[in-house]
Amino acid sequence: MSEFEELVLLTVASMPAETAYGLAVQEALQKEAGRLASLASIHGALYRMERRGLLRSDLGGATHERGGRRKRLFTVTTAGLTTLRQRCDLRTRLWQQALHLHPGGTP
Amino acid sequence: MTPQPPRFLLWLLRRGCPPEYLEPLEGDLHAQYRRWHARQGPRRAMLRASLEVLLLLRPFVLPRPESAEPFYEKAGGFVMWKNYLTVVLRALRRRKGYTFINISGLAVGIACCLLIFLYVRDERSFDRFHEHADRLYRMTRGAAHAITSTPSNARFAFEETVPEAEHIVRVVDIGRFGAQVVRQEDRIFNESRIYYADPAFFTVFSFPFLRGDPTTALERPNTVVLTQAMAEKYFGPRDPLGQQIQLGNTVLTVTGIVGPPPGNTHLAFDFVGSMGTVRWAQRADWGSGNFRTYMLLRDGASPAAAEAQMAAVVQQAVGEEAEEARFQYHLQPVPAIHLQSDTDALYLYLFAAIAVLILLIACINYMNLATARATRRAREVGLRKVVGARRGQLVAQFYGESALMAGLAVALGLGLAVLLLPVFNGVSGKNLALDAAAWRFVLPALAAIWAIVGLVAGSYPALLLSSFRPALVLKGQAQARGAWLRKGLVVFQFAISVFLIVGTLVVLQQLRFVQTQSLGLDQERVVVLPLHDGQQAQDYRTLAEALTQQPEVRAATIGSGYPGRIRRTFNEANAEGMAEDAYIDPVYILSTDEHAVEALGLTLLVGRGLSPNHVPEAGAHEYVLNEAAVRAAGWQVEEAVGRWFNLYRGSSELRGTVVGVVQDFHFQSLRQEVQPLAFYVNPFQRSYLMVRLHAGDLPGALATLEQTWQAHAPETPFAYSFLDQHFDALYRAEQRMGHLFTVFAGLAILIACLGLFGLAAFAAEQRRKEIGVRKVLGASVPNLVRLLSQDFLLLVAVAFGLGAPVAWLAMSRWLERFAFHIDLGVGVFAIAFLLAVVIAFATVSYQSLRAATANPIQALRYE
Repeated sequence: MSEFEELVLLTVASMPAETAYGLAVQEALQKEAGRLASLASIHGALYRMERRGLLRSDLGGATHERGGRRKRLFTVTTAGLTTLRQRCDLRTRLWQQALHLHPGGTP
Repeated sequence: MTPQPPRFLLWLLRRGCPPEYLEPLEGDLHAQYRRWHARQGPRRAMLRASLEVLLLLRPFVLPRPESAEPFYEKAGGFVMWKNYLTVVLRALRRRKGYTFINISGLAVGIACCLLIFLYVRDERSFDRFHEHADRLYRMTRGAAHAITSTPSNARFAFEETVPEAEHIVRVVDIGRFGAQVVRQEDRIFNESRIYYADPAFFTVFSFPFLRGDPTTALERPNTVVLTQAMAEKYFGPRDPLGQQIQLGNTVLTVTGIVGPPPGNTHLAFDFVGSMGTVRWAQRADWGSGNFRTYMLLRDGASPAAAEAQMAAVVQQAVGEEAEEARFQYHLQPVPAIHLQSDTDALYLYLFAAIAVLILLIACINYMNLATARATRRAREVGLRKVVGARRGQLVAQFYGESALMAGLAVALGLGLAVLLLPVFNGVSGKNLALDAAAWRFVLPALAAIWAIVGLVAGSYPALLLSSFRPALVLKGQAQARGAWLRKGLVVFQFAISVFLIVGTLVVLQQLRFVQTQSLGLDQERVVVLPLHDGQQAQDYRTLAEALTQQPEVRAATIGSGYPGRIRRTFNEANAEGMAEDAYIDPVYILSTDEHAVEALGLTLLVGRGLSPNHVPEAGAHEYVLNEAAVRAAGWQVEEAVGRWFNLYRGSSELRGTVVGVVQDFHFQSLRQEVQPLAFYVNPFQRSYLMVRLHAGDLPGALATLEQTWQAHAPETPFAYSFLDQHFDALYRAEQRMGHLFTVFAGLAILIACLGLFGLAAFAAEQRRKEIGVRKVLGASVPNLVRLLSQDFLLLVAVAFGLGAPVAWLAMSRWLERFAFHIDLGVGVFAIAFLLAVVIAFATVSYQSLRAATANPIQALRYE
């Protein structure tokens, strides 16, 4: 899983149910991480992770703003949460070691 | 009205995005556009949306849809690839005619392109092999490097004063004054590629030395460097180094042997003697123009700085006269000489353009035929789709097919080019070879052609065929799309063909015109005999009189040149009645004698020819002028005789009296107007005997000339040429262009016809049932032929409408290069039109006739 995919997955997991779809993820990513990714790469990442069972999706409602097109709403699966958890643990563990070597957080 | 992303973006999105992913993406794009529109305005929203769509079009952004992954992909895709190959080969085999037309057309196009490519490369390669080619310059005078000869001061004055110059080398082309007799014991030959050059010649130019030392070979007077071929010719197996050879009256010692130059050069020589041998070359002056002078700049020195410095030196040396063109010194890069001064670069580029056009025509054939049979293969496409082929696979299949075809064509074209190379060399007067160096250019070129042809030619069928809707196709409802494109391409092909036909006709007509136009002199029966040395020139009268006594000879005269090769003086002339500061320029001069008018077959308008045995004294010359010179002096022909004329207004030495006026005759190519010309007597300028023969037995007359010559000058070889040969040589570039135009126009038409033939076959096949029905209902064969042919003839007519005006423009521009030219009449265009129509009709009618005479039962039995 790429770093970008992980970020997308985390973003989806952090959003309330029924609100995570392509454009919303894009805007959240920009707001939270200051990162402007294209719709295409976000959709691509979402679908790839869905195929791996990290996400599942349903078609949501169509609105006027969307020119009558439905959304695809994504929800993180248990497998997705486990993966995130493992990644997070790995980082925390490494960070603890780093802190141990560089007390105060500054090298 | 709610703001919406531009429609073409949505269209692009729909094309680029697999349908499974489309709806949410499209919705997101809409919503995003509206939000940006509200926050940042329409421009930013539009930019953002474009960016989003563009980023989507990258490959592999979205995962492949799972549902479309068919079983055979999971088996490694091998089954399908094998099947593709089978199908392609089967298709090629089944339609042999079609395959033949396609591949042979392309192959011929590629062969043409390759040959022309070699030609262009060869033309551009001149003098690039010299080690210092990038800082090697030739000194020229006047605007646009008009005067390539320079006085001896181009070396002596600049050598010390121009710090940018590392070496300055003068070269005298002795062969320019006529062939020289070269003798080594009993071996006597006429040679004309003889130069004398300053010692640094072989330091500056990189000719490969086989024997001797290039830096010192030309240091001493009376030394000479030979080419290997000459060494073998004169010395056989003996070691030539240190041996002596007689060049004219000068005995020279051989100090070096050079091998053939590794590339083309404008300085092709057989002998290079040391400049120290030439006595008159040691004198420093600004007035003469006997040398070609080359300058090797120091590393990093700028030619502009050198030119400025030269201008300053000249200014100091000659004062006010420095304004005159003959004192404006310029530097011309040596590798540029061939294309700038020695040949016409226009023809080269024209030629390259024709190559590209022919290849384009061949590509169009491929596209046309491939799309035309699209319906035939539509079923295959439909079935593939039903079984689960994705669009990308189909696209790959068709590109693969066109790559295969193009590959075959490239291989065939290469073979054809190799086979045709000798023929092409004959037509173009070149000696091209596919050597190792050429291969290094040819192979990438072929690869590029292969890729471009495969891609261009394959694109349309690949994109069109793969977009067929399987349900419609299998129901038999697929229409043959692309008819308009096909027609457009045929029009384009024939427009090019019409252009080339018109071009060929015009070039050939103009060539015939310049060669049959009356020149005003008897060019067919005047023989030119080059004299060999000063002594022979002094005593020419004995020989001339002996020749004149022969019954075959009408008259004989002497000349400093001959019509077709008459030099101009770079001095300014003036004449009686002209204003103080007015002068005549250019003036061409021919030093001759009293027999000139009779021996050249000119028409004397008033006065008489030069006096017999006239020996001119300073200020008391006699002149015979042509009408152009009289006009330039501002006189009437009747009043010219008795007035004074001066070839060099700067002194009175060349002043003289006009004794006669001859009618204008062409002594240059018909590109130019007739220029002012003066006949006078100059005992030091006698190089050619011109002998006019009576009508009758030419070989007999030539034998008599040779006998008389041998009786008077047994030591010198007899060489002759006719004046009209020299005039023909003036049009060599045009003749070559005429030949090449003819050949390539023929090929272009041939390829276009191949394509038309294929299309006609296709059309006839497509309308088989219609023809069957019509026949059953009583349509006659001519009726049906007309029905099938008229579409194509209409296309040819449209093509003519497009090609003819372009041809008219281009060819009238070309004709303007000749002061005397044919009028571009309707006739040429009528012929071109008829030719195009007849050729097209002949091509189409075979297929039409076949379709029209077929038994309708064959077409209708399944209904």
